[in-house]
Amino acid sequence: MSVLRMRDFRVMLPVFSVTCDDLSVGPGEWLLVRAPSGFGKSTFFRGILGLEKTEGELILGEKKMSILPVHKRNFGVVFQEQLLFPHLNAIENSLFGVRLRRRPTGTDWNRAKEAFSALDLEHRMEAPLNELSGGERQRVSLIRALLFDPDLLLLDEPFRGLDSALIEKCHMLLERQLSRKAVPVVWITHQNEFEPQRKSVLYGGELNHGRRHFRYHSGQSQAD
Amino acid sequence: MRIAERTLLALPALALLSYVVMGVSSLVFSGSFRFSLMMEHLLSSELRYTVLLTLKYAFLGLAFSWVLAWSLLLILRGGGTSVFRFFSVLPGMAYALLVLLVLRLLKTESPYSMRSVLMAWTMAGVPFLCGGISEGIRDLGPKSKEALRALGAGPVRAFFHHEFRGTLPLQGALLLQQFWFFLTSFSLVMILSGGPPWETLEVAIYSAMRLGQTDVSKAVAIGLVQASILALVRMGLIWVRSAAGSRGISEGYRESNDSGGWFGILAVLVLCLMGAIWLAFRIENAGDFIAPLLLTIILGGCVAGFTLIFSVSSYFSGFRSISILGAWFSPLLLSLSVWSLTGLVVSPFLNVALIQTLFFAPWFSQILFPLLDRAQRAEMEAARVFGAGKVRAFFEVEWPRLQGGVRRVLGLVFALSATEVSSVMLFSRGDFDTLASYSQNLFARFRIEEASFGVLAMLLVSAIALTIGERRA
Repeated sequence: MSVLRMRDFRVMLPVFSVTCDDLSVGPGEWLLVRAPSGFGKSTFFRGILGLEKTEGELILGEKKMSILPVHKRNFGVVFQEQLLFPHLNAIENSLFGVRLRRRPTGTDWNRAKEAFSALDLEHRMEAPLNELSGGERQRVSLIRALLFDPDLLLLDEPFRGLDSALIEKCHMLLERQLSRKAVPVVWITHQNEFEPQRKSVLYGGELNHGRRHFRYHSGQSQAD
Repeated sequence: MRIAERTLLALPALALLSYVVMGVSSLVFSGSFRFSLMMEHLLSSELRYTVLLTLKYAFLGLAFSWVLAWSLLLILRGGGTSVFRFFSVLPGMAYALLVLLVLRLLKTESPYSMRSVLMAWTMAGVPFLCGGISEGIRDLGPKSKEALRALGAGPVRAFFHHEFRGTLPLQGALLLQQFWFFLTSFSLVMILSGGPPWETLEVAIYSAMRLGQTDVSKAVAIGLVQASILALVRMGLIWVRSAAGSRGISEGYRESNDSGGWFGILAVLVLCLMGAIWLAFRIENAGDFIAPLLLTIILGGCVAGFTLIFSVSSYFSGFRSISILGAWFSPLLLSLSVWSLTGLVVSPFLNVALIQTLFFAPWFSQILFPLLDRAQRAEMEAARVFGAGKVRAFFEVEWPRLQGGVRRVLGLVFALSATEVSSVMLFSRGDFDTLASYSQNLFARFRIEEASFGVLAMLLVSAIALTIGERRA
């Protein structure tokens, strides 16, 4: 049961920085990250992943994530642009994270098939990537983030382009995963496609207009 | 990237560069070179004659190839691109053989003259121009032609404004490349010209370096003139490409959209095999070709491997321009620049391999660098996020995308190495032979049947390499 903690966490870019002073997200809890466009949501996201230079503490359970390289963090991610691999078909893409850790077993394949069928994709499992629609890719990307049992889920607008029925199915799949292994979820979104039971919200605001320094803080939005 | 990493990556590229610099310095400061003699040769009427002869026939070759290429394109209406492309990578020696065959059928008294060279150059130029122009026409797409027709242009005017004018920059680039090929053509001129005074610049350099009558100062003088002309051609090529933008001009080897190339390669493969078997029964010394064959394969493998290492090193270390260094010289000029290192630094065989690497690396880089430029950085990051280290992320995400192109070009480099003859002849001095140099020597002794067997074997090896490259791609 891991808790995600950030203290004086700062993502540094040459042109601006993003700060989160103090935050903790419990297992199974959803952290909704909200900010207007251009306020560094993606930078914040990339900082947590380890793709940008950071300062301060980022701790998951007992592990200091900030000192681990990106591939050792064991995070499940849904990227806004999906970033699936064009040389793999749908189910191979979904098992990519598993394959990097071990040879996929029958259980892994069965779990993948179940996930595909839960998201109405059972007929598209063997489809090459270029034959999948945007919505189908989005769902494959979500399955890929779940199958290898990550320690943290990071979702960057994962339901964009999906209708409400599919969003509900995705939500159910996510909840099923969280009941299997309760991990913190960081969800970057413009609007709530659904309401998680346990959630906290992180708002982004501009601290210093001259230096383009954004601060993310819990509680009320500055706009509210 | 950290400086230490970058330096480490740059090592192979810098090593090869310093090898050339060392060769040039050693050549200039060696006792066999004298500046005053070089100046004498530079101003001599003999050199002026050679330059004029080379340029005259090269321009004639261009004109004939261009007219014939357009005629063929109009007849074929844009078909056969891949077959043309395949024939455009055939070695000069194959065209020389073809000309000899044609002239024998025509019962010509003596086939050895510059007219035969011109005929072979035209034969080689036509498929190159046809392939390039028809690919350019395909890139233009049908839309603007449809618009022209809709606006009232007849078929001739539509052709002129769409196909002809649309591909003008490309035609310029292709003609310059073809001009380059003529200027650096070696084996074909050696076989067909009939020897001095019918020598082009490339052959004249070799003649000056011939065993027993080596005149380094003369070779350097001719080399300087040739390098200057080649530099002008290269600059012209850069100018044409920048003036037209990248659209419509591809110097490299592009992916085929049809299976014609495949059939072309297979057809040549079968023909070569049948011809080689037939000739093997007619000549007595077929067994003598085994050693050159093995050496050709080993050399081709080494050159393909070195080219890959050299190009990757220069790309990732940021010294891209090193890998295109060879594009400014002919193999013989490069060989001349490091000729004095023969047997000193590395073995003559390795010298040949390194020279060929320098010469073929630009071909390889032309294909590899754009592929690497289009690297899926975001997908690589995604793979890393899911748990792949840097190396594994590369092999999981990038390699599947790159491997087709890399294999195809490695096949091409292997085939080009198997047919390159000038560097082998200059460095080996008869110590070792590839199929190309062995066949060349047989041609020189007018043992045409045996030489033809060698050329067919060489074509077979090249065609197999190209087939493997195409097939796996």
